Amino acid sequence: MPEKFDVVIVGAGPAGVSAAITTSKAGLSTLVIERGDFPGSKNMFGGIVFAKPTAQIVPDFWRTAPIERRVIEYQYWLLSGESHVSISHRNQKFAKELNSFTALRARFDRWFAQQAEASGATLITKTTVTGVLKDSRGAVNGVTTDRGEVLANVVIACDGVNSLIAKGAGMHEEWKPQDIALAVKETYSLAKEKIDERFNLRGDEGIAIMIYGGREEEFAGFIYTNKDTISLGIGAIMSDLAKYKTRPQDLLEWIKSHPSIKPLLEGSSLREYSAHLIPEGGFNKIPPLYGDGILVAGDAAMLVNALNWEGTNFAMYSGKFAGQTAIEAKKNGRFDSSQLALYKQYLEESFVLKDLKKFKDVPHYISTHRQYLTLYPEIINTIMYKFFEVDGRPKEDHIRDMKKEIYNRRGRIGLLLDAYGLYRRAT
Amino acid sequence: MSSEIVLSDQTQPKGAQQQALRSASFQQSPDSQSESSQKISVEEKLYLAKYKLDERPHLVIYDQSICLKCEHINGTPQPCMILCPADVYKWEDGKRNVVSYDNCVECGACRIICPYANIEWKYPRWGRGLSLRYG
Repeated sequence: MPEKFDVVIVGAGPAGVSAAITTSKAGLSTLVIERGDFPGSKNMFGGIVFAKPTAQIVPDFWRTAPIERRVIEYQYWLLSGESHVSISHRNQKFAKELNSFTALRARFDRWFAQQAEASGATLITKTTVTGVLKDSRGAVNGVTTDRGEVLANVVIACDGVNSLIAKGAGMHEEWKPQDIALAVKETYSLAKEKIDERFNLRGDEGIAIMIYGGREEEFAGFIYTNKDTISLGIGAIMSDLAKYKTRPQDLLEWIKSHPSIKPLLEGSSLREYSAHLIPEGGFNKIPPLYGDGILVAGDAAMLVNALNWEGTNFAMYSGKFAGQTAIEAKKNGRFDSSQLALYKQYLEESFVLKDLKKFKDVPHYISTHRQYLTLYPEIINTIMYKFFEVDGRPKEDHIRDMKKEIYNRRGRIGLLLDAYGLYRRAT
Repeated sequence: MSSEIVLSDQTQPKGAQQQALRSASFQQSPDSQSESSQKISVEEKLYLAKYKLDERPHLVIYDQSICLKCEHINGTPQPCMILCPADVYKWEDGKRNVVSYDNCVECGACRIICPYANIEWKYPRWGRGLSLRYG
């Protein structure tokens, strides 16, 4: 007779662990099943973790969490040819009150899962959940794994972007290539002092750089400073990679060889190469979030705000809400859809579904209006060049050239439409 | 904390291979010739990671004749070969999709991009496969 738990959670990433901490603290018997050697060993991200959402799950996380660097400066770069234009914001407020920090998943997830164990959750690793069990009425009542079966009142699927559990339970079809980004990342070791010097940082200060432009493909690049390593990578919408026959490795090499970026890696040593998918379909592509005996959280539920580069906070909050839903379900002794619908209500009342709903039209709009990706980075770089160039010609000529750059290439009407179109969907 | 959950212990079947960690020093040195001297192949980069082989391939082509059909329609490299960040799929002898599943970084791109859903995609068993040190 297989063991039975109140809650079985698939995956010990941010969503799964947040759910586990929530349910085990409330006294529900909680099993977390992780397919990796240890939590985080099969996970990867840019990236940064947001402090306040993390504090919602572990209030004093900052005491013991493996924080790489505290981000005090955020930069957006627009690449074009051999140039870039950047907008950056450094604020001492970020130093005084932590907003976000850089992290490495193999370290952070491992620590995070230990907090779930400390709350009373049972964690088993090196075990892959292969599917769900259903009772005679078709309600989910457990999971199958490569080491046997486990029963549960509620299964919380936090198995990440591939979302095989929800798919296997019949909750959604395979993802579409236009809704998923493929990211490849490299981690380089570089002496802390060198990183400090290169990026103007002191102590455990860090920087986050988000990069767009310079390609036909819809992609983004990123650079994050860790203690003594640098994370650098790119992510591109899968349908674009296929359409332009671009290998993700080649996109990565291209960005690494960009003259603005290459010097940042000087003297460093490559330590790791990895790849991961990002679910970017947004609100319109979110699958069913609950069923009889089952809840889906984190990347597995496509809960990612790609516009603002937010995923870990969505995972933590949705995991917590799934946990809270399981607690209420146990109180009522009911685990069917109408009981578990509470999960969606929690999500709708929070930034999770509010933000995704607000920006729901952005993914499709950007991918069908390529000028944002291809033309504008070019125009903006050219204008800035003409602005800064001093060549003995009167300013009148420079200004006329700058205007020509926009008006000839996009036109006054086009510009207005583009500005309004984005404003309407993104604000 | 509750007692040890042992569903079944299959951690160390006979013949388990463990690839040793190869720490390479792929230095990024200042080089006016940009990429060429620092070009590192994907295979070399994959050696940086810890990897435990699952003898049962976790990636399997359902029907090779569909891959042939795909090559006629899409040309080569086919979508799986373009998208895979770990060079798992290779078109050999102009007729066969050879799957080096031991390169796999378990991202899932191939499963999603295959226009014919022709890849049986599972995770490696029992924690085998890739194990990241940074992530």
